[in-house]
Amino acid sequence: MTDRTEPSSAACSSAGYSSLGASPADPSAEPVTYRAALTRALDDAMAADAGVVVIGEDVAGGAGAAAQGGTGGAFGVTAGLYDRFGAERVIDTPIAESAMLSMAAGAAATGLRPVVDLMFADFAHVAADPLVNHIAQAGALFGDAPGQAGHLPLVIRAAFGAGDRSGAQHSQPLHGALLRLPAIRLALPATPADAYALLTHAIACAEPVVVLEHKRLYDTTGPLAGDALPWGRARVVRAGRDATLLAVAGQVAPALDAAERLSGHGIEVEVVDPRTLNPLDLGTLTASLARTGRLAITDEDRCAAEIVAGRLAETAFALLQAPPCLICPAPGPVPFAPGLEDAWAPDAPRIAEALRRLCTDG
Amino acid sequence: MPAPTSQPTPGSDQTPAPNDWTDACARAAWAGLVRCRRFEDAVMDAWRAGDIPGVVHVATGQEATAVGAALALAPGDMVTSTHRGHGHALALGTDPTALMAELMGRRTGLVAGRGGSKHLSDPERGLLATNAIVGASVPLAAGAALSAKTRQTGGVALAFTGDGATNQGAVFEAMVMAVALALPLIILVENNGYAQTTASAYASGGQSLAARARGFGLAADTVDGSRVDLVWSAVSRAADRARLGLGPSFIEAAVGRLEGFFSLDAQAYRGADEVARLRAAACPLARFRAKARGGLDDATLAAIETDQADAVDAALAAARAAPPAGP
Ligand SMILES: Cc1ncc(C[n+]2csc(CCOP(=O)(O)OP(=O)(O)O)c2C)c(N)n1
Ligand SMILES: [Mg+2]
Repeated sequence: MTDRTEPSSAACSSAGYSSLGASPADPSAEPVTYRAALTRALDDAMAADAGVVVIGEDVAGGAGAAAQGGTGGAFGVTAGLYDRFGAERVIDTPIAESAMLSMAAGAAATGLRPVVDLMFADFAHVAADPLVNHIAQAGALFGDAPGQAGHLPLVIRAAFGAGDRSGAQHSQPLHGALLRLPAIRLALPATPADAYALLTHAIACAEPVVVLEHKRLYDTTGPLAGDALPWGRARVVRAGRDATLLAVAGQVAPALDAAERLSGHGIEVEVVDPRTLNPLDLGTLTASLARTGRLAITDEDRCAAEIVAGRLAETAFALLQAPPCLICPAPGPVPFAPGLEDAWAPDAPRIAEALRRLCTDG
Repeated sequence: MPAPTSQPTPGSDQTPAPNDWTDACARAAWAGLVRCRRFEDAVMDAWRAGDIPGVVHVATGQEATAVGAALALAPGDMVTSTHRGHGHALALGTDPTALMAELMGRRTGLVAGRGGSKHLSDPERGLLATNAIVGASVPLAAGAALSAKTRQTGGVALAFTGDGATNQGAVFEAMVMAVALALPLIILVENNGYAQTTASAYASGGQSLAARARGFGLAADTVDGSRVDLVWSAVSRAADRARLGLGPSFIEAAVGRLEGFFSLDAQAYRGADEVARLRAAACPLARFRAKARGGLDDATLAAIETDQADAVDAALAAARAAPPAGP
């Protein structure tokens, strides 16, 4: 079914990173949006491998007919793919997320490489059964053919995050819930280059990968070709000696902003973007903690921050001079009204204040 | 009961109003229709002016289903709704000022600005909750129906839902449940032909939604959803059945969506003439004038319309003046 040879089990390690599109065709091009980088990754992967199909609601978006120029998904990420690859590979579905994900799993187990567009991450919970009982248990369910136990080359993309006045059921983070499913790989790109590289890798990967895209990032711009960090490697975005601040996806920008604010006050924060939470780059994170001795995590998903802090406590407890500081929203639904929603997610001033206290012991 | 056709057309039913459609019904219906229309037009204007954060899904053209159903229900009955729920709330009697203030994120909003357009709740008026998870209104209403049945309140529950939503597994499971437990549940599908940009006929494989429901064992009917009198009649029959313990009903109402899927929708997927055609053939206000006005003369209709317009304009002004919700 696929043109390309099956990736080896190393596809999810850094060694397999180059299997698809590791060097974007045109790295000198103009800065692209995060959205365009995702589109480009899909386009390149579909061109390279006839087994890659895009599945979701309105991913073509031409009234479910063979209409050209459809909307390309709720966030426009799949725009143009239908025109290029046709209805057999850009597949609009009825609104039925549970069947959509189970179907994608079955297709992935039988020769396709589905990339499911879930639209809002909140809808993953409509498909909890395929996610939790099937995709995350693939190793037990589908045997070891054709590459390895758990071979299930399936990608799920979803948009998440607060800030666009979408209300309680269109703003929730998903990564905390997924982190308790170790068989599901988890990428949260923060830049266009990472969006391209991580999605490209996810499609080439032999295991299920969820790529979570913060809604606030779609219109941000940057180069398509990044620093070529391998899959699974964290990025030290800003060096510092006083504390290590972890942030992914939409929280990276406010984390950097907070670090710059503190720099004027003699506090130097090292900002680290893990880029993938599964795998989690314990090596880079531990090395940073060895330099700083203090850990802060800002995340819209408190459960994710707790899990990451717990993993680091296992490996780096002795390096910490203070308890981990989690800078996360208060429990409860994401509120709608701008004043309420803006107070919900931790912004740069809140992050800076928490770090100031962490670094000055009060 | 007419045999369900695969895709019912709004504006097609030319039968006269039912015999029991009184002038009192007509008067209340007209007030509801013009209130809903004026409100949604005001919402679109306010959204364009930047007074409503986020996006909105207005129900312009779908007034008759909201108003007809609400007229057929009794105090104590419970309603669940969708992302397109402003009209459902208004028809049930929700204060337009509180509703507009909610959409604007004001402290005086229906749920204090926490919910926004997609998350309304007014249980005293019978609105349990609107819902932004497509399909979820149906099993939730089944729960309200179970509660009414178990507590022997004599109440029924009605779920508004969309054509796209009927493809959700949760909706099918709710139908299975409602039939097995003989729940006093009414599923009212507003089939506006689209789910976002996807055509209803594509997503259902051309199958009639009502016929599918009949296969599950629900009493299933189609109705011209541009006719408030016919919707009222269909929901009244379904409510009677439910109160008699005869189990759940499914009503597929064909409606025309006169605006985009949501406020950002450029509608490239449908021809420019489609909305004009729907406005001419399937506007619930025009259809009311033609078929359901009973003995109400033009002056009476105009006076009601003025009252409702004033009420909506006052709601808009009051909402604009209210303080924003904040921490
Ligand atoms: C579980 C879930 N999947 C997808 C969506 C995104 N979505 C919102 S409205 C909509 C279309 C709904 O179509 P329909 O039920 O026909 O209602 P309409 O908008 O036409 O009133 C979709 C796909 C959602 N909100 N929830
Ligand atoms: Mg619809």
